[in-house]
Amino acid sequence: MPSLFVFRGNNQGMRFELDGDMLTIGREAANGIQLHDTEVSRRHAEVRRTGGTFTLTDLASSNGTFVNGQPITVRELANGDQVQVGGTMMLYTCLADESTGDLADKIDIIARQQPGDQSRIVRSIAESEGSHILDPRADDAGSPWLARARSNLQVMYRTALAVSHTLDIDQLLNRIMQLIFEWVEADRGCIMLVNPETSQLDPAVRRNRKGVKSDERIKISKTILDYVMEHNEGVLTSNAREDDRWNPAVSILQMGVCEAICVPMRGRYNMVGLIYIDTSISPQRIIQQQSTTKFSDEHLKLMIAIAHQAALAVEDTRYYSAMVQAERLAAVGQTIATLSHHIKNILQGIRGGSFLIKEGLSQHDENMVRKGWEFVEKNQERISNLVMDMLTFSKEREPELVPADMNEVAADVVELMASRAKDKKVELTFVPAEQIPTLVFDPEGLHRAILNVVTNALDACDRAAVEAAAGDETLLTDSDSDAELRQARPGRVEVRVEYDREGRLARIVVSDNGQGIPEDEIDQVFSLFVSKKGNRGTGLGLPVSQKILTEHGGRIAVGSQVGEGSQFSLELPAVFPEQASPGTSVEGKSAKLA
Amino acid sequence: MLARRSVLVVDPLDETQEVLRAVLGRKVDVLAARTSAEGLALARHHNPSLVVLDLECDDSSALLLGRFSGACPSGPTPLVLLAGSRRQATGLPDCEIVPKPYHYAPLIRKIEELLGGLLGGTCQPLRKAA
Repeated sequence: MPSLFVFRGNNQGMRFELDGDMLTIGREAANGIQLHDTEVSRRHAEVRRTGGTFTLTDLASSNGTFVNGQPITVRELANGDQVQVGGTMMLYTCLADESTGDLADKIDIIARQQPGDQSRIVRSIAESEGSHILDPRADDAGSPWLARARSNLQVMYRTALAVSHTLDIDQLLNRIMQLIFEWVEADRGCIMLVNPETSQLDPAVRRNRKGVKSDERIKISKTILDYVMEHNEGVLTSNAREDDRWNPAVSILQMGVCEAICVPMRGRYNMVGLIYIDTSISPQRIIQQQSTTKFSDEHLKLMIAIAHQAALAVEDTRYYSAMVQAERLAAVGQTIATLSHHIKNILQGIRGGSFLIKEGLSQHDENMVRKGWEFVEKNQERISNLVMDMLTFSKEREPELVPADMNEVAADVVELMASRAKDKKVELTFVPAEQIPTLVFDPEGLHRAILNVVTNALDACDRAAVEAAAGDETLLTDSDSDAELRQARPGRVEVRVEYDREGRLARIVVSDNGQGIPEDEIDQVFSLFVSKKGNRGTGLGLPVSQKILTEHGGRIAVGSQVGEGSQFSLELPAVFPEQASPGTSVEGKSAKLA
Repeated sequence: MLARRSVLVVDPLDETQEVLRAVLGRKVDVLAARTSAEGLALARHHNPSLVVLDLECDDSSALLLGRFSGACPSGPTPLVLLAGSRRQATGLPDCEIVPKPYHYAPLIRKIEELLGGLLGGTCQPLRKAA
């Protein structure tokens, strides 16, 4: 769907999908696209669908509307256009042709033996041979123009390669400068970029030819810089007094530059910066080569082409970085919002418990006090689990591997959850492995992994009971309704430990007879912050369990049938104490599970 | 003999249901539901005097809001909305908004005021204001 993505401004990271025929952009809440930007008018602009495209119209805003840096009144938007309103920059994106539908319906890959496939391979060339078309040839000698053209094309080919390999602007510019020095006999060179904040030119890269003093400062005539930036033209100067495009400025004469090329780095949208190279020619050299110049018009043209490529790459890199930063901010914002929601609910629970305790004390109602205390304890446990899950998920933790008894760890979890199971009227059973040796694993981590899965299993049984008879309204009218439902369909959760000697595998299987997980939702159960438990679920439990098992070189397998129940199998490679040495990761000692 | 008034609490939190049941249950019947769909069914069936609805109850709670008000056979039912923020409740029908996280004493006072008004002033506040 066409959208406007905010990559600069207070709404950075937000994506506005253009799903209606018309959306207004402005500061007020009534706008379909509301921007928190004081430079944006209350009703600033509108985006209107016209056929298959969108048209942006400025609504007589105070500060104007810009597309790709140009002020507009009405403008049809094209994919990749940058829209600026106030201090907010947005990127317009849309599919090139949304009517293409499912491409799989339009492209057939024919099996080898099918009669419709008449094609055969006539010739093949390795991918690495592609650039050889640009190599000098023997017959070039008869055509200097062709030789130069081929050489220039080679330079542009290498430039394209240089700018396509990095997302680091400094690295990119260094490559460009290196390429220029390989191709032209310059003494010194630098690239200056326009600072987006100050609009001033800041030096980004500097390079000297070998043998040239590196501590010597490059002095560039401001006259040249201004001309290049203002006129968007590259200039070559070998004798400033003979060049009529600017006055014989004193600055040029003072610097004593014999030859210089300065070209603009004009990108898709703005002037990005410029590239400058210079050289001096000694009297001996002039006598030798019978010429006072090193740089030619051809050098200038090619430098302009290189600078344009570099500018496009700089713009793309900046845009990509802004996108990454915006996406990161959006993700952080989403994480904070989700966690705040959970914490708020826990706080609400604690307040409820505290209120009951206070009421119970004032009315000498011991039952009310007890109930209130239960709520406080329950929510203490919830905040504790939330914090532990956050810690486990956030840090790159190494499992603390020690020899331990897996039966014992699983039994601890079952014992811990026994009272909750009892409250929910769910039968929780434990089946230890009959024979399992002491294995090396992180008992604390595995305890958390099993705990999260068992908690989910109990909740699944609890919800299954309530939802199973949700259609019977009369059962839901008093506090005992849930209990009645549970009696109608008692929940069962089993925790079983298994040891596969041949497969060198330990397994903890948690089965429940809850409502099950629809097939199309199974892939989502390990997604962060995705929970089907409403306010009771944080969406952290299973991702944390999966992370812990992955750290052990293991995995969690899920099987489920709607209406029947689910089975989570926590599998990890069996590592024996004699295999493990202190500080050695499990992965180093046993093969990961497929 | 007149039937007892009732308050419907639609909130997934056990704590909210339990607190309101413990305090309000002395004078009125308290019905409880965990989802908005369940709550709507109860509203139609039991014709509550007032509905307390957690707007973050589930994805449907805001969508079903308008139907709560008209669900009761006896006419429009006052709504007390527990909202994540006042902004979340912008544009919703006329109702009392209580931003979360809230304290229970003011919430209960608000419910009592509304219930008192519904009873034509003949009903004494269930509790004294703090």
